[in-house]
Amino acid sequence: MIIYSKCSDYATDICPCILAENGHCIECSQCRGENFCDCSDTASFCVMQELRNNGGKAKEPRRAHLCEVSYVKDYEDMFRLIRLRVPRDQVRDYSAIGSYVLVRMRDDPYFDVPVSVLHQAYDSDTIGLLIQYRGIKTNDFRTLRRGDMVHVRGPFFNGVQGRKAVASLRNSRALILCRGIGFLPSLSVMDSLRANGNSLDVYLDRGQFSGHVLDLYSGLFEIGIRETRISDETGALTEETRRIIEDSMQNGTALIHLGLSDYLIGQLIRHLEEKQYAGAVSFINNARICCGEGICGACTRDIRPGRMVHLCKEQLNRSEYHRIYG
Amino acid sequence: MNMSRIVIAGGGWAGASAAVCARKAGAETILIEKTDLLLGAGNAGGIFRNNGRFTAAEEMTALGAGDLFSIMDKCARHTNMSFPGHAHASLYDVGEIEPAVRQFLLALGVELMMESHVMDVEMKNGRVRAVILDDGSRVEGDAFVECTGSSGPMGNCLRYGNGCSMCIQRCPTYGPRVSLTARCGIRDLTAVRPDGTPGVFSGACKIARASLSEEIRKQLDTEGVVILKVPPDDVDYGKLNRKACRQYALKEYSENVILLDTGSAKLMTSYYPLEKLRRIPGLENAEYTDPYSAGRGNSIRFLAIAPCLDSMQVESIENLFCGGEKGAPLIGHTEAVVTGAVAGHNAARFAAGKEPLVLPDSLSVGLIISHAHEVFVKQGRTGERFTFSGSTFFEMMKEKGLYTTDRAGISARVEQTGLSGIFSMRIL
Repeated sequence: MIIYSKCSDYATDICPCILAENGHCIECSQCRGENFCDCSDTASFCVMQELRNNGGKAKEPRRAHLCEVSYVKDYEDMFRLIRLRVPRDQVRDYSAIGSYVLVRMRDDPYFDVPVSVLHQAYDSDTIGLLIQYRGIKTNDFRTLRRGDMVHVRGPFFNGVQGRKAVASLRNSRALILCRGIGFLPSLSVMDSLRANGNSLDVYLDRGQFSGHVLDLYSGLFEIGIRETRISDETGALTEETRRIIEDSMQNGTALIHLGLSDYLIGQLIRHLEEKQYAGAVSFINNARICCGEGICGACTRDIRPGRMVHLCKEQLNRSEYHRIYG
Repeated sequence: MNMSRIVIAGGGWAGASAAVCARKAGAETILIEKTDLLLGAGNAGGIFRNNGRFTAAEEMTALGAGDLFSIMDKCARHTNMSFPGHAHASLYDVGEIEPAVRQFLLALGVELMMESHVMDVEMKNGRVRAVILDDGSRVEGDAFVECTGSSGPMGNCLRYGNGCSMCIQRCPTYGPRVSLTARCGIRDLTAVRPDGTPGVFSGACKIARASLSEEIRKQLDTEGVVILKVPPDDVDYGKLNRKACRQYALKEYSENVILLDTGSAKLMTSYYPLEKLRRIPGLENAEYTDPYSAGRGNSIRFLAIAPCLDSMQVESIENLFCGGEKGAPLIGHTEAVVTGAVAGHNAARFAAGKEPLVLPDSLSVGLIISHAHEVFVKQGRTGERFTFSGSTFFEMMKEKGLYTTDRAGISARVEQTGLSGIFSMRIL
């Protein structure tokens, strides 16, 4: 059972983690040194009880393991699709909404790259990742061959904000707005929404991207996409985008998912606030991820005095979206 | 015009009572309960009409809020019985009471939202506008009543007790108690034990009848009570300071094991190690049914009491009212029915634009609210808890001549206040 909570690692195999052991638990007020339990989770798992049962120590953290590359395909000298064979029976763990892994070819963990899990194949114990060549870490993957071994640490689960809203929507209607590569981390959202009987209106702005890989995945996942332009040259939302949102609000869309850059996510969140959209909103997490465990601080943002979030593992309240992105 | 809507969070005795009074006042009434059962800890309760609770029940009946007491009377297995420190008690059957209350609420037109967990509140202009459920949905209302109790969640039972004892509240299954007043930014008050530790243990547990000796079962059936000597080396007077129920913090309850027949066998102690319990003749095969781990602990309560006025309105939020342990440090379901009724009725009065009702001190049901708020909230004496059925408040009732079992006298007393039938009056 996956419990969707403030901390995306809550009640997973690694909970309580090193944050709880050291008084910085995202979830548990008492593990943060407060006097009273202020838990608001819906079920089952008391972090403090688990911590005490574990002798006051964190559970074993995620460790990198070596995985064999079973498939490689290049797209436009910009991307490389790889499939990795993960330890037997663990593939299901990678299927959660917003799953991502840290992957590298070298032994040096400084080279870890956060990559969304595109798909999982239960029969072959493989997961699919798309690497975009961007810098020193990702360029390593240009030399990757089938049969090579890469270091994989994961799964991590916070690749999408609004996981609970996505997971709990049933037999309803959702609008998906994606631009460029933002389409791919949104696949797990679309998959979950469809599995729960929701109908999707998917709009894709290919951006600067010729987009063969988008065609591949929209075909593979059987997602009917409609092409659009989300923003104009100045970065403002196009009239068409505004109309799409207006129509969606009128036809009872219960969730809007944004697979966009942080800039456009901000634009859309502001627009939805102006329009007083009362439904749920989810979006892909583009934060700079480094350790993935809430330790290094690379992904932290201040929301207000006394409230700092670790975007590598923390889910925001809907009311907090605009404080970071708006 | 739309009907005014009262939303009640928490379906224990207080929430049920608030729902009855809000509905009778003419409001659309929604009762939200996180588990699959109404009455909360009342499913492990059963004792009523003992000592001053008789007076309180009759006063409430005269005030027009006797419905739930009538149901308790109909579900009673024993009436007019005595056990140490307590006279003319009744015991309701815990197996019959919940369905009976549920049917009554439904027949009255209360909308029940079972297995729905309130997680947060939405405020606007200093008032509560809606409560937010765990699925993200909102329930809007004109006025709100919080009856979420003061026990748990698991972290508190762990820190201030002996861990989750798997009690009737079932936090692991249905989620933790969420304090709505705390979500509104109001700091909860906490009761303390004599040593300053926050919270106190719930005072009783249930033993499966089938696990008792035949002789004990027969005695429970006929007399309603069984008193068994505790082996001298197991007597622990210290535990009386740790339990919630002041009226049972008597030495008889340390020197004896006292069992009451509530359909189940109610053991009048917070917890008792099973190995030791089984050394007592007749209990050799005893097994707990609530909490399942009553050999080790019980729920920790009185950890979240909101500062309320005597109208049960939360200080500084004019459309939020509290009933039960949330609204005052009162012990027991008779007390919860009283505060719940005031909270539910006043929520409806707020929706109707009327001044809130404050029960007068000439009635025990008014005095207990004002006295508890005076001592606990204003004077900050957080070691105190109150009940009609014993300890300091029962003594106060006797001193003031309020304690009586004379129904006609109680009715006349209520008549004098001019409030007869007030809780049954339609105001919306």
